[in-house]
Amino acid sequence: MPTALDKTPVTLLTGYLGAGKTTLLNRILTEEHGKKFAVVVNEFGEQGIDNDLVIGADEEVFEMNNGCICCTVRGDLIRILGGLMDRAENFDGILIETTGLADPGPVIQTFFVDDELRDRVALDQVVTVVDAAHFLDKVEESHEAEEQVAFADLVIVNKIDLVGTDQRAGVNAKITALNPHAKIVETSHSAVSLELLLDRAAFDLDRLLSIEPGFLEEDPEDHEHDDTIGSVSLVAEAPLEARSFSEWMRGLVRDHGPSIFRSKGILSFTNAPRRYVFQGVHMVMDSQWGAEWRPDERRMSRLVFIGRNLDAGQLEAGFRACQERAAA
Amino acid sequence: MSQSSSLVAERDYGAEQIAPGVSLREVEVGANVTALSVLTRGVAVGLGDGEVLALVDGDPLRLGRHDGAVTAVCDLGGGRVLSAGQDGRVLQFSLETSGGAPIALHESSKDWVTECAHHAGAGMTAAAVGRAIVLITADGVGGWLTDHPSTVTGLAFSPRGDQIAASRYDGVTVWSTQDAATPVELYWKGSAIAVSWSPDGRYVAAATQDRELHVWDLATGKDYRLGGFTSKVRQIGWSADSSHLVCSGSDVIAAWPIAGGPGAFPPREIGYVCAAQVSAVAAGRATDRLAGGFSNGAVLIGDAKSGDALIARAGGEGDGGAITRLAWAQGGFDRLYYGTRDNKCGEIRIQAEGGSALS
Repeated sequence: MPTALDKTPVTLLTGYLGAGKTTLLNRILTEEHGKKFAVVVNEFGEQGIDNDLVIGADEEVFEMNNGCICCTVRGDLIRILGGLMDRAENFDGILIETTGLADPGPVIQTFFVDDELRDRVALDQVVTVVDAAHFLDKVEESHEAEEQVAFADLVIVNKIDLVGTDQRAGVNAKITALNPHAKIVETSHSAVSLELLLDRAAFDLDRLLSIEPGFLEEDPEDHEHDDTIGSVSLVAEAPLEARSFSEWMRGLVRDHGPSIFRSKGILSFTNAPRRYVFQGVHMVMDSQWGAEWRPDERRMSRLVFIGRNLDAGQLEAGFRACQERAAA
Repeated sequence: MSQSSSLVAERDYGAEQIAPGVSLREVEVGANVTALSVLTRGVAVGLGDGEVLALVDGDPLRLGRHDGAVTAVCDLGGGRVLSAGQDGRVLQFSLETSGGAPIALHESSKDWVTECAHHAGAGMTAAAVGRAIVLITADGVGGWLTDHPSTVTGLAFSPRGDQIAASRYDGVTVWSTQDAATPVELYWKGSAIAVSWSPDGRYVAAATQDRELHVWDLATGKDYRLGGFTSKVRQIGWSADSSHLVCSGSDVIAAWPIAGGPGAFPPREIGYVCAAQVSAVAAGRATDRLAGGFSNGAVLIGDAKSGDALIARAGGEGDGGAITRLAWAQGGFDRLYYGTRDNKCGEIRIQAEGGSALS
């Protein structure tokens, strides 16, 4: 039986209709991987899925009564994943394909909110497939296309063979503007390898932040946007005071939760031998103590917000206040 | 739970020995137990690998299997067992001709059968299939109850069998099983994940995704909200005299008195086991014989009035061996059946002189 330590990894696959999600899923599943997956799809499309176990979800979104106005979760996923965990067999991974129009927020929040799922499965990464030929038009006309990129850990830019160099650069620039922390992979005909999608522990923040070499040098003032999706990165050398930080974050997600799509952080608290790692989706947050700081390591606190209309100055000031109190 | 008037919550039963007067017989069944139903003699269980089996006089009798986990088993009486599974099938087996082909009462190509219930008096079985309920009578399929706002998560017949309650989003739908009368909607915002009808027919209780119980008094039309749980309530039961509502959802077996209105008084809390959560319950006679299974595999039997509890099965380390199902024998509180996540199924026998908690 699985212990609490080996949770089944879940990959969430989002992307607009026609971006190539299903082709990508099938390419991956028919590889010689020797692994056993369960695939959850929102609707059985015309294109079948090549897997032994494909379960149709019903997109039953409901609001939790916990006082968070934006805390919506997917009841169908709670039930389906709970049912899969009841099976005697163990899966190497679970792939969830969402519909083109689905808001990824409720799906991701489901993994944070439900105790039983949190104990037994772990959201490994959010993968968004975009169509290089149509992406720039799509983001102009729909919030969903933008938000799917903003929520992503990995963006697969598909159909790269159909566009010229300029458009390719334009697509990359737009993705980076929406979400500078997502990894971008370009491909044609949905040809990506299984390893890219599975068990990469993209939600392991150490890893995510370590693949962003430019991260530490970023200046929050560069990320001021008006009514657009963007990100704010904050760094602190001084340790943070745990209580001030917790109060600040709580107030922040209470007042601005709906516009904060994702937040992630690795923090150094005063007198704490271990790093504190957390991530959030809107108002829902999950945190835990991570690895111990090595003696030779610089104890940096790093914090990232991705969302709409983020006020970089206000975030920076709030974050600095948590440091100043610790230094005093 | 926040409030306690019981001293038992102070005690740690984790390391104690099994109580005198209790004997236990256990078998390996090959996979995790996901469903359990007591039979006239013995017990039927469904497993995570799809196997359905009966344990009569201790020996496992393999009846057949589903593709995917078994979601429910029911005793149909007369040596017949019903099972439902994630393969969308509802099957009927005979204990006499085990190994023979089962009768497929229902087959769905798309949806899992999430729950089944049987009422002997009404001679009716109900299966939750996606957003619908299929009613099966002795003559075959007796009708569909459709148009639930979401997938049906739980089913409970009224004690007389003339109605059936279905939990779903935003509460519970109560249907007549006798005619096409418009169903009664019991509204409570949120996702209801399990439902139970009190033996006296007066109350319907539903567990919600929001770590609460909601109870409707069908006699007065009032509804009550019971909270303070530390995890989702997965199992609800009623004492045979309808005086207590018993549930999981915390680290103690919680027995809520109904007199004065559900929630008017704090629950009696029985059997605190160190670092373990209640994972299964079997309500008892009145205030006595309240049984709870824990996430560490322990089984406790307690008395809500005295607060006493005894250990019927010792717990282990971690939660790999959690008790998943627990049920008293038909028509008696001297035998208790359980199934575990680590592939075990057993019977606990209690002798009459088995200590103060059992008197």
